[in-house]
Amino acid sequence: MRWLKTVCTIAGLNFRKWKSDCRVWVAFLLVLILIHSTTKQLGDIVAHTGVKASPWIFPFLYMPYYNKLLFFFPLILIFSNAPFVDTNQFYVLYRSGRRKWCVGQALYIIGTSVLYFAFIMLFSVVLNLRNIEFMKEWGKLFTTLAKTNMAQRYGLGFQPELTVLTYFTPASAMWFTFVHSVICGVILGFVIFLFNMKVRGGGTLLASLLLVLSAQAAKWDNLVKFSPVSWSTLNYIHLKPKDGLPAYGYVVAVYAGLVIVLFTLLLLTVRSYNFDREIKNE
Amino acid sequence: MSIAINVENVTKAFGEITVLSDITVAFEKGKVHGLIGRNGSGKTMLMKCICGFVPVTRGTITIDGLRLKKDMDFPKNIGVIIETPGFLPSYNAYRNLKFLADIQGKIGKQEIREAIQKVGLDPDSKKHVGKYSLGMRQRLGLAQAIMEDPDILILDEPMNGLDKDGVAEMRRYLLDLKAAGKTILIASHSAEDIDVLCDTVHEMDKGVLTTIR
Repeated sequence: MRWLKTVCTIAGLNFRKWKSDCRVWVAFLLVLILIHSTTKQLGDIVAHTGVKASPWIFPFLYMPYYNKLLFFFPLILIFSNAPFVDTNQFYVLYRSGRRKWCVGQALYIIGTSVLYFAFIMLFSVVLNLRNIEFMKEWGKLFTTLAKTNMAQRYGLGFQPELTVLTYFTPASAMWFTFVHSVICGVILGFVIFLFNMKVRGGGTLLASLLLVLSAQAAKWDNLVKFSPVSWSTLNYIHLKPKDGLPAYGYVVAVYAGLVIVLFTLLLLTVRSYNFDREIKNE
Repeated sequence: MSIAINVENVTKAFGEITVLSDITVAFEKGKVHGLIGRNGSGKTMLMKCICGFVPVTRGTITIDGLRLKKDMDFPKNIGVIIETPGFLPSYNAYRNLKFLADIQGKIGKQEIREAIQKVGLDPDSKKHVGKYSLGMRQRLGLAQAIMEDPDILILDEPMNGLDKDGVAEMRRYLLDLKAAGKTILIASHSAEDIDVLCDTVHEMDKGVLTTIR
């Protein structure tokens, strides 16, 4: 219990630094702008058809691969200073020890990823309140958008996917997209944390490259299997027969494997990590 | 003679550059040990190695009989001021120390308040640390180092930024700690601080340590 409290305190300290960290403010502001620019045409469609949308925008928001790039980059910006060492961390470190400190930072990455995607989920609704009618189903408008090219004609930044509408209830689509996105965020955060410990800035560069390549890979069906970032939305997971997409079991196994391997590597790397290096470069 | 910190054949190199060269020194318990030397001579690096922040290239460091890296990550029961004390700028002194105290959970409200008072700051002050002068931050740095009542204190330039009265207060306080049996390793540029406070004095020059008193 004490161990858990220590780890949570270390993670909490990082969250408390958000108040004075303009990088975090910029990242969340960028997300608001992205949500607005992706969904702003919804108002025109609602005005034209006279039918309001359901609030389940989130599962479709970053289905297009370029939207994925845009929505994941602010998260990379937040994690870019991993392993989050500053002069305050010296005081934390000698009280906690390396292992607990590392677990605390990993917990911070997980917490940040959860908050980040919860923020996107929440504000995809809040910013569109005028065009939304609360309902349990997908609604008539999303079904029409999925079956026609109306979204394209109006320049809407996202397109509801018919397979998702068919195979998922809104609640389950929201849940799976949220969980998958959080896991992707955690994987990118762990990559940044791990490789920034090896080469300063190396992790951020690598995670950005992975994001770009992973999103690009989704454009070719046979490469989707190697693109964990693509699986953050449900359009790249096997639902229909013979769609050639990775099965859900495969997705879960790869996600779990990546998280476990990266976390183990973090624990091993932190044992010989020179904390002084980060301070010197501050 | 009981040894608190034993440094044996410690070398620290960054590639071709050697910043600590085969250092062997034993710091006795209950005494104040001074480290002097020019900027960049390796004083702070030696302290960081003793604290476990920087892994050594060769040699061993033993603290209270436990070997760094082999038996522990960081020395148990130490208090540290290294570099300019870093705190969360948008919180007051008490909240900052509370966050740190919660990591080990060894002390409560009362001990934190006492530590802040001991260094001449107000534990009830709402002033954010971001608005503190360097001297006030230095005092708060000392408060965080002493609040858990550690047996060993590693203080790198603790008088930095303090005014004349502050320096006198700090000296008095460090002498009280010495009288209470604490082991203190202190790095300072001030010859007067070293004269007044230290039982042993070691000079660092280009990574080589010489005992001069």
